[in-house]
Amino acid sequence: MSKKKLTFEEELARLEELVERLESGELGLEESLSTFEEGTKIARGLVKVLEKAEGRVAKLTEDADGFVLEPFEPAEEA
Amino acid sequence: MSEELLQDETRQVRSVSEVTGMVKNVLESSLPSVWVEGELSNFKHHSSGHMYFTLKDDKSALPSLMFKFANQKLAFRPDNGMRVVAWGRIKVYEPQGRYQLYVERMRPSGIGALAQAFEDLKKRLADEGLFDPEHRKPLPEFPRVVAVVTSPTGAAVRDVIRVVRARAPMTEIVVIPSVVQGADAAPSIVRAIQALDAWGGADVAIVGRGGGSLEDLWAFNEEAVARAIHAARTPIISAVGHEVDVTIADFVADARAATPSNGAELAVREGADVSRRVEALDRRLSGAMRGMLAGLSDHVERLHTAYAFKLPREIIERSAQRVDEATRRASSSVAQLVAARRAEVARHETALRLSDPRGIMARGYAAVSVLPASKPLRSVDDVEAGGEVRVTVADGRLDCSVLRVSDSDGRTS
Repeated sequence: MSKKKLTFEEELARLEELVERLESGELGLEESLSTFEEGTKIARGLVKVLEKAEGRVAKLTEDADGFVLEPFEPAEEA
Repeated sequence: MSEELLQDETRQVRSVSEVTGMVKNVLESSLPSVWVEGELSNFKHHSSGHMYFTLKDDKSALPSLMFKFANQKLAFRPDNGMRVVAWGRIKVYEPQGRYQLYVERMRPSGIGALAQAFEDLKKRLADEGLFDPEHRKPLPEFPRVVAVVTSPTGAAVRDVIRVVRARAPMTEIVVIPSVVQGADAAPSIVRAIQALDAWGGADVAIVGRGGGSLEDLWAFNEEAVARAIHAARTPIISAVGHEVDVTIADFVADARAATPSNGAELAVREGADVSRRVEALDRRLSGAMRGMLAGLSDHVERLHTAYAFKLPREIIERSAQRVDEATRRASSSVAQLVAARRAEVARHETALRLSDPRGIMARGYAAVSVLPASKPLRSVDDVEAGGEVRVTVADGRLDCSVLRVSDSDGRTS
């Protein structure tokens, strides 16, 4: 399998899968711990991505160098 | 002839081509392109594929033509008597000395004609398979970036921002400004959708505008817009007007929303606040790990009691403490967990080693069971003098006869 970078959704799905496997109680100690470790790592990565998002509102414009995101304030209701 | 006229003639005589060229220059430079509304007459669809017709109103007539490449994109079948709005360039046809409108885009004007155009285009695109469900891309479950193709000053953009904010505050909103009304709307929306894909940063896009008349919303019924939505790689939600407004864009989009607010609701579904989701998963992960550790502690306990001798009380208590400590750490923050976890394992391994009877036997203890049943010998009551017991030591076992049985006070039974 190629080691391509997973999308946010894929990472989330993987985390979900790990949680379910760990919750099944069918894993041995070593497997549980490695599952837990992988899950924790993914969760931290996802949180980091989210922290960067900040929920800003921007406007997409294009100039000679390509696309630019500018801050955007919607006009007040008339 | 008078002297005067003769003078004029010699002063400035131009060829027909020169004059025609001058007319051409003046006309074509002052009318680079125009929108014209009028009635179709003398309509001919030539075998070459080009269309020839006259646009007229009650006073004037404008000879017009529409080449095959342009009329192939028509959303309706033109016919005599139909009122249309046409866009094109005025050009002078020099061999005949007449000017004509070279039509590039044309749509019916008036409600009835618009409805007909809508049905015609809908049928044509449906026959072509553009509305087939297999073309529909799934919307992302947890979009981080939602694009909005709409007017930056309209009500739609405010509605979208309000709904997305309320549902998932971390979601980034990117407005891709577009004209959404009038003649420039369709090409502007097409450009915005192309920019959306070229930029590639959005997980999903809402394309739409607030309510208006059928003609206000018309751009979303244009073939170019439909094809741009169809071709887009980013999943697109069409969100045009009010509940009752249905546009061609609705049929071709990956999802149809009744209004822009509803479009935002589809883009960011209830519970789509992904940060809460990640937190919940993380809690479950820690919870399951705690469960695992608790199970491990039970296992240690069982080991302690399963053998025919008691471990020193101190070891049991220490194990219990270790499990408690592991549990406490597993419930603390994600960041601390990873580091704490390895230490937990090491400690548990030690606890398990300590409780392994072989380790203890190696230090000189032995396990004794009663023969022939092999029940663990726990008490002087479990055996009588003359009975047989099996003594298990680190490297083997001894089957023994019991000579005498006495309790801890030295009383012989």
